[in-house]
Amino acid sequence: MKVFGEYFDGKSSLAHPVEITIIDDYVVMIAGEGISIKTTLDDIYISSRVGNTPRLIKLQEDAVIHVSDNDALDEAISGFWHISTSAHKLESRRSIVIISIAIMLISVLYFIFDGSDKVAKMLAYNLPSVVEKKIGTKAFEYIDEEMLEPSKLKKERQKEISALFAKFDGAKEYTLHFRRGIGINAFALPSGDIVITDELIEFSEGNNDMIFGVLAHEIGHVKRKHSMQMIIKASMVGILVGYFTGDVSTLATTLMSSVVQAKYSREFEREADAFAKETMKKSGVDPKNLALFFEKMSKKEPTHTETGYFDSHPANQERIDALLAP
Amino acid sequence: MADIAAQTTQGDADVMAESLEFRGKTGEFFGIWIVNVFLTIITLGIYSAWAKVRTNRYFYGNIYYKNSAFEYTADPIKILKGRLLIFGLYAIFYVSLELLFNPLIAGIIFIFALIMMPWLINRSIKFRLHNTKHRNIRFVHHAHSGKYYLFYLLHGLLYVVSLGFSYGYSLSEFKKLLFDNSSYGSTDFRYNGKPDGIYWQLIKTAGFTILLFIIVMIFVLIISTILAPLFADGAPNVDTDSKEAIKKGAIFILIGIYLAYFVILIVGKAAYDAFVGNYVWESVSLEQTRFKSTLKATTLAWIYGTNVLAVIFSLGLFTPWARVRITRYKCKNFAISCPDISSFIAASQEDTTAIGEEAEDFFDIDIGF
Repeated sequence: MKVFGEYFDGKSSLAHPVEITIIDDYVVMIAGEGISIKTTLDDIYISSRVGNTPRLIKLQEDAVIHVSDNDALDEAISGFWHISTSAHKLESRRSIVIISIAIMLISVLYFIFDGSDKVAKMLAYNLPSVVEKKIGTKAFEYIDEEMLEPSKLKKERQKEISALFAKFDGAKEYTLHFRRGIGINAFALPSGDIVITDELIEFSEGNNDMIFGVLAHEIGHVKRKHSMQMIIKASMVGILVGYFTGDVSTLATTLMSSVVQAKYSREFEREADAFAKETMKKSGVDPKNLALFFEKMSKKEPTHTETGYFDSHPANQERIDALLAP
Repeated sequence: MADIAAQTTQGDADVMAESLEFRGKTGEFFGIWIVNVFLTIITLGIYSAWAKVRTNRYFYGNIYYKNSAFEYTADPIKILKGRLLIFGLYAIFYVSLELLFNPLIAGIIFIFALIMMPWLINRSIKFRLHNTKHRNIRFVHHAHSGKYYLFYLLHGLLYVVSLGFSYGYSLSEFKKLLFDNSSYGSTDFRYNGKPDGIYWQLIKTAGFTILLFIIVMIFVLIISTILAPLFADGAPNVDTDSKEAIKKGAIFILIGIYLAYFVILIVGKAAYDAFVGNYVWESVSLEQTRFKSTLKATTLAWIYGTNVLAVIFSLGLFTPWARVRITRYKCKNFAISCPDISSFIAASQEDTTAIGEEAEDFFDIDIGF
């Protein structure tokens, strides 16, 4: 098989037309005007194919032959030369290209809807507690300064609820804060800071078991690392977008906003409810008190928008039933 | 050997200029691109270095001057190392600042990166030129990092002191630094442009952009005044309905302003690339060889704009089409007049690392060459 090419010695830009003859593994002849080279396939390197761009046969000492006829070269070296043509094979086959598009779309969709949850869960459970503590503390300071007001609750009532809170398993890991200003609300941060509002305490109308249930539910979110999972998920998307677009400035802002605007999924709510139910039972409190709270919440005027963090707590029948089930 | 080059290039000065020819095809590049994206995803980004090399090999290898294609010779492993280093540094920076709230470590990394920047830019230029070949002769950039440190220190200061008005002068000096320290083989490039030439091109860029901005704003205004009343159907009196209509009209104008902003960004870039780019290349020489760039701001703006829209509305699938299209246009409008393509002599030089190139890629610093 003969292949035509242009020989460049690597010292000047002068092109020499040459003819390449591959006889077998050991004899490759390169001939042109004033050029006669005998070499072996072991001593030369043939570049991989990219589209229909000229291929390079690299000889000793920077000398190179440019070959434009890719098909002729492929045919000439087939059987002798095992260069990696795999990438070109993938790139030039229509079926593989179509499959690539499909797999790409599916994997992107899978990642968005499911894969990211699993990765986030794995990371959240394996993160050092120092990180949780720092993020939670910062987020709490931020929310406290921007959105919350000091509680106006009587000191005795605060003590009463603190005593209630002390009944929890490992209550020392958590700090209860009394605040007001964001409606009927309670939330917990990864650092163990738990906030309960005056409005919620008033709403319970003295039913301490109900407050106990709400607190247990919030501790459930912390125990199951729900907010950490969401923070990780939000930053993962940020990192991915940053990686592909080259813009990393948006990354920094996603974190804080994801803590503040945390909306838990149904799955997370179910987990927190289950945790609360178990804790209540253990402490001798009837779980129906938490169910009562959800019922009461859903009966409130639907136009009431000040519920804030509870927007993501759809008090539906399913959850109430789950709590009431033995 | 060097004498031969000198002798043979003593030809007539009026050599016919010949355009670059781009032989890439959208369909062919689509296959390369989609496989790159796919393999990059399933290898969690590792393949991106190989993807970059294959993409560059495709584009360089399809650009022909006098029937010889360019060559891209970078080693993907080097690119990967650079990429990992930069990514690692960034990860430490991000984690220490955003997750551990430790501004000390982040600050140290930031200052370190700032100090390294001129070095990185120099290395990335060296890397890119070193890995570009034509007719088996490498391009070379031989400036020491010291020159870049001096440049950024001096011109950074100048920029602040002059409230930004030194930009044209600095740009001119940067092109000088770039070209006067580069060569094709052993033949040196020369930059003969003057700062006042650059300033004139910048004024043209600003003028063109402002003109188009005004045209787009007038267009948006006309469209909104025509369309806004349509939202107000059946609300002749000032009541809640017409309030609603005014709100809708305002939203429409707001969208128009964002659209104008998008148009301006693209027009500005196109005008800059055309006016400044054409001037710079006209001011460059390579012994007897001259360059001529004939980009048109309007055509470039049209291509940039429609490319962006096509990519967005095809969810990225039109990226290969857009890249082939812009490369074809730019090649067609870039001509070289070279008396003797066969007499350039190679230079010898040391290897460069990919760190700089990758730093530039990641942080997206625009170094127009």
